[in-house]
Amino acid sequence: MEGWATFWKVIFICSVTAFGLMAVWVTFGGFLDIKRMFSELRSSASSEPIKENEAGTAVPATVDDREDG
Amino acid sequence: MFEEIFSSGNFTSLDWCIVTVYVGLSIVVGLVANKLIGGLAHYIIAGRSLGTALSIATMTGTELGLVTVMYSAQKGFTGGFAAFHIAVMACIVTFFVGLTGFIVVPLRETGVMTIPEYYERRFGRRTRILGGILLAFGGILNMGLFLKIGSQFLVGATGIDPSGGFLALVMTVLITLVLIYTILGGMVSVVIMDYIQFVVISTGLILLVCLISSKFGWSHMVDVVWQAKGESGFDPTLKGSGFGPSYIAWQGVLGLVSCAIWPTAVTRALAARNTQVVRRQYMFSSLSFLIRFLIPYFLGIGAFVYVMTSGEMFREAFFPSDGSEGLSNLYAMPLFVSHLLPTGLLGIVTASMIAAFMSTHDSYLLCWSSVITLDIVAPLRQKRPLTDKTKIVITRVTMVLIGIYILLWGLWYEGSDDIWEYMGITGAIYSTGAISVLAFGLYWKRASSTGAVLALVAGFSAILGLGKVREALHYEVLEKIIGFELTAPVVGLMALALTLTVMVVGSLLWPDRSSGKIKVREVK
Repeated sequence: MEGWATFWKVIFICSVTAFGLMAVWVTFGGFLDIKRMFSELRSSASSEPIKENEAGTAVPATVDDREDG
Repeated sequence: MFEEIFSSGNFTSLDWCIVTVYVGLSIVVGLVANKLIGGLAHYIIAGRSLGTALSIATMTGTELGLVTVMYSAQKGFTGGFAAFHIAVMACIVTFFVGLTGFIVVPLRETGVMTIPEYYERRFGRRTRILGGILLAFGGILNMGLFLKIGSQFLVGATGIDPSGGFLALVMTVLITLVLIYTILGGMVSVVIMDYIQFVVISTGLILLVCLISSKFGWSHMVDVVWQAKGESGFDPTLKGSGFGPSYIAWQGVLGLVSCAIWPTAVTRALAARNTQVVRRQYMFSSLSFLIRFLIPYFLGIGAFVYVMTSGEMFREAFFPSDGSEGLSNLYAMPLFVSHLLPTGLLGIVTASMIAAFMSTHDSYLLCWSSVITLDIVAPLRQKRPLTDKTKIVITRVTMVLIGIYILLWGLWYEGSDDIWEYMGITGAIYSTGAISVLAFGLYWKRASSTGAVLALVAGFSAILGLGKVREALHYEVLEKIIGFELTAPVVGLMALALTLTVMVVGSLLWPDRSSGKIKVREVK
């Protein structure tokens, strides 16, 4: 029992600590991503709309595979 | 006695004010997001504009729902620390998917918006429609208990009388608000609300962990679980723990399903900016997948310790000494939270749980209604294709219909106690077939449309794992013959093996005459 209890304790403490740090990063990074998303949606809403293929499926525009900053 | 327990918590008018302000924010978000919708791609996948941090926030916001917290807390309450293995399996599998890009990267490279759309481009329209029907059926069935479980949380945390009309009114208001902002803003609303909810939820959960740890201490919690459950409360490999080897293996499968097959998670990958973001999203999200189970398990264990040590009233409520049926253990965690936290703080944590409730509902409503629109209705209208505008209208109408179904089903359904098993099996109706179709479709050139159809149909056999089906078919007779128990995990694993088999055999026996429109990505 001791072994399992210690194992779970280590897992738990490491996980919660790592999650806390990630939550801080995601909070700030996510805010910046939302700003960028708004900007991209506004600019693409005014450009040519998505076309449909023969099957009636909306075909997405070519994705710009640039580096994510 | 139960009324006394429910009304003895710390929830006050201040807490209701906090909850109301937060919920009202969702309408504002819907209105703002509605102005940014420029077309179908914006509505369904936010125009593929999600960066890494936002992808993680929205995936976590969706997957860390109130239902997850409730059934995980239930698992922690009944299984003790041994339940932690489920979280570890989910983390390992999600990290593996991120590291290797298994399924999610080649799927993202195809440029599809939904998994059934991939089915059509790889295997043909028949596969898409069948896949869409099974997906929508399993998914909506899976979602049927969400509102019920959410209402149990509210009853436990706030002390609302479950038999009165006020609870039904609160649930109706909540589901209506979710429908409003999701219908208005689609995926853009979903993403923004998920982000806000991530911030609120993560703060609330970490706060709860700190409070429980300071109140009880790890050693004391270990001692109480040891006294009540013995080794079974710690070692998941023991059959007496309620888990065992087949259960652990099934958790590995569910872990894969949760992150790489289940549409709400995969939609985040399809909405990511590029494949690099997808990999990073999954590797970082493996931590979220770990935490979304681990912390609720800890809450459940905390609730168990509280019940066992806080006095006779709680212990008798959940474990009556006369052997009668006690209070459902789903109430344990919310009751514990309502007694642990002071007013004000309780309102913030309750708001975070309602946030979790809403974030799950918005994603699932959008997901299943999109599947019905894009993968069932639209393919059937191939000769007279639907316009984008019509598709959005159909998606919105379907959302309302699904919302009405879950409201009616949730308020009146008498559900089974083991919610995690119900969720696993209803999910498996679709996902066991989908694992085979996706994995072979993406990595094996010879996968054929006949093999895909057979695999999807075979996946339906997972329904044999439901508790009600077990009772109706009298499995105990068959179990005596075969010599082992047909538990839900065993049935799920057998269904998976069946789909893998028929996919391979069906593809070899009935190959396609020409290759699919999408080239198969070669395994490197």
